[in-house]
Amino acid sequence: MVSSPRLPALGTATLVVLAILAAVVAGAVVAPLAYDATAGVDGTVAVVEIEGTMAAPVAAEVEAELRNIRADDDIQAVVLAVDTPGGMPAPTEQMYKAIKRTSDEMPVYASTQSMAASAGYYLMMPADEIYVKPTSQIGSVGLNTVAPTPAPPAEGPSGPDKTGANPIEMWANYEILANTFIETVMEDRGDRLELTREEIAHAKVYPGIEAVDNGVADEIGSVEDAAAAAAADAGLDDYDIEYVSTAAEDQVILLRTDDGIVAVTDEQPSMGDVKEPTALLVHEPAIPHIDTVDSVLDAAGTADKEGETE
Amino acid sequence: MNRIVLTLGTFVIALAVIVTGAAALGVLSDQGVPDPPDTVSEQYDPALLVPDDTPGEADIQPSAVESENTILIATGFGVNDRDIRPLTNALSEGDHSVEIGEPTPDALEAADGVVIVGNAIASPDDAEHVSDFIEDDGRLLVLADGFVEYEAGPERATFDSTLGMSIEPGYVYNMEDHDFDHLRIFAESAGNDELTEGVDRVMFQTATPVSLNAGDPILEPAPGAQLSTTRAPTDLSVVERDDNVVAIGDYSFLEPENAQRADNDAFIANLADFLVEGDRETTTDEESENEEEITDEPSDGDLMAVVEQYYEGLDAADAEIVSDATHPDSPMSEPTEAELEELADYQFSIHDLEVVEVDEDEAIVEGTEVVIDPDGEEFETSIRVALRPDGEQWLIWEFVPA
Repeated sequence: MVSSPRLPALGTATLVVLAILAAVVAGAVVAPLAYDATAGVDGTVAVVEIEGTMAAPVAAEVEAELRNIRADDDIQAVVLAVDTPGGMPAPTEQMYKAIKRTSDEMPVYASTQSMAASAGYYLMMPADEIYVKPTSQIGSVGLNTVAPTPAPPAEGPSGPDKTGANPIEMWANYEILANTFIETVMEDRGDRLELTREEIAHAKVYPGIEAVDNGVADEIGSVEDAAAAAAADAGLDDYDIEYVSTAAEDQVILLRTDDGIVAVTDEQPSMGDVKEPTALLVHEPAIPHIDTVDSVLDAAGTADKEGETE
Repeated sequence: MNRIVLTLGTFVIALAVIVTGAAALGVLSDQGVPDPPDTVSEQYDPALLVPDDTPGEADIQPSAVESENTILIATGFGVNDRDIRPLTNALSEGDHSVEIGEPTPDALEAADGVVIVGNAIASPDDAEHVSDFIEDDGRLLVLADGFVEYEAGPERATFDSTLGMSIEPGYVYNMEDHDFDHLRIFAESAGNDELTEGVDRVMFQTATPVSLNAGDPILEPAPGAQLSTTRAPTDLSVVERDDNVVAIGDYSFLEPENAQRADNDAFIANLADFLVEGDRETTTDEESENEEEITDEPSDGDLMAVVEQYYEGLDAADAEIVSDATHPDSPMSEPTEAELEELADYQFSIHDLEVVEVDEDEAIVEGTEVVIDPDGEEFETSIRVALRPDGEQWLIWEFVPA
């Protein structure tokens, strides 16, 4: 008969201590895994910053960033942080479509802290909710343009409309642009608006507190409030916020002149960098007058010279 | 040997499994740009967004039987020929004369109707002249410029007050019922007037309300119109009439493209009729009547005889003879009895008369005047006399510098 091995003769206390040590060693290996499993966030809310003039460079950035967001499994909700007096119709519609695609896949909330006027408001239409501060400026639904004028005969162009359409046809084209904006607002927010189509078409800019009251916006709150609401909508108890800039290298600046608004595409513009858009989605009073820009530049120039002489 | 083959075979099979698996994983992961999800935008409905862009046609047919009236048109800054061409064409086609210029007394004297476009009038003198013209049965059409109040000085107020006309600050717009744009409003007849015959609605591009103290509203904004200064509904008239004066708070409705909208063409035709159907007798009318009375051109002998008669009257100190040889509308004052008595001791005669110029309304006769004073001293002076017709006679109008 073979006898079984025997444990050394240890006391009970010693065995308890050894057990605790073994547990500590094993816990050191397993505990981080357990912490990660319980402390990790549920997902990310992307805050997409949309600022400046709504023009082609910004539109391309917004479209690309939203495409990336839709492909990113970690991002479950989006907040648009908008600050703009408006911009060009076509880039605005490009951004509107990109935002609408995104809102079809995940919660998209919008927020403005200072101004979301005209094109800026257009972008917010696919949003589930719009957050504003009490004194934010929001609205201005409509088109800026100048009355069409008849063109004198021009020799050379192959057709009469190459040098400018009949004024009545141009009026009709402008009405299409304006109607598209107005009908988009009525389609996307009509059920929440306390205003008629005609009242919206007045193109009024509302302070945030009034906008929430008449349905132009939904809630008073900050970007963080909008992010929290978007996260809750996406079912995220814990979330990260990722700020996404859409600032483009080639900025477009709008300036008011006595003859209308011009678009400048270079900080040191030549003639080719200054264009006169025929139609814009902007809140015109928010566009700086070119004289004020001159004054600022003159003052800056004077300050520079004084600095040089000191 | 078998162990080497077994080892290599195992390696190849394992490599193939790994590469194939990686390729399959690449296909499944689909790293390219994903197709954009479809979105629905029901507002992009042409039936909802696209208006009728047909420019329309204008058929401006004045009905007035009058002809050969003169219409003076005074235009303000920024008014181009094309802006008022539909009206001027209508007048021209009616065989009327269109004069473009300032409302000077001479210009008004020959005019049957006057059109003031935009800020054409500024001075108090202009206002007085036009006011006199109206009192003399002239017809006046005032086409206000809604932008002027923002850009011009207050001088125009003098003219407006002289006529009893008010131009409401602000402009009319309509968000519900308009021609493409909120500013391009429609106005409808406010009552029965010849100006709105055949007119249902008129389109104004930049209308401001106007009123005449003793006037009646002719066209009022269509329902839904609002005033810019109040943002409240308005029915203030944009066309008013006080007998021979019509005030309209816009002139861009005359532009060719706008003449084709609504019933603007019929309204323009009615305005052309209004301008030429007044009761005013102009100097042109009087001259025409005089021309009809004068059948024969005056002979040199007749003209010189009148001058000789005038001097015979002076020599005889006979006021009646002098008066008979003088045109009744002459700017010269007739010699008084006292003056003729002083001249009684002088001798007057005229020599070497020659007719140097004759046209339809004036003739010039030159000669040498000889005056012998009471002391017998003789004075010779070259004279030049203008004569004008008075009915069938030619009489002395005035002495002009030789």
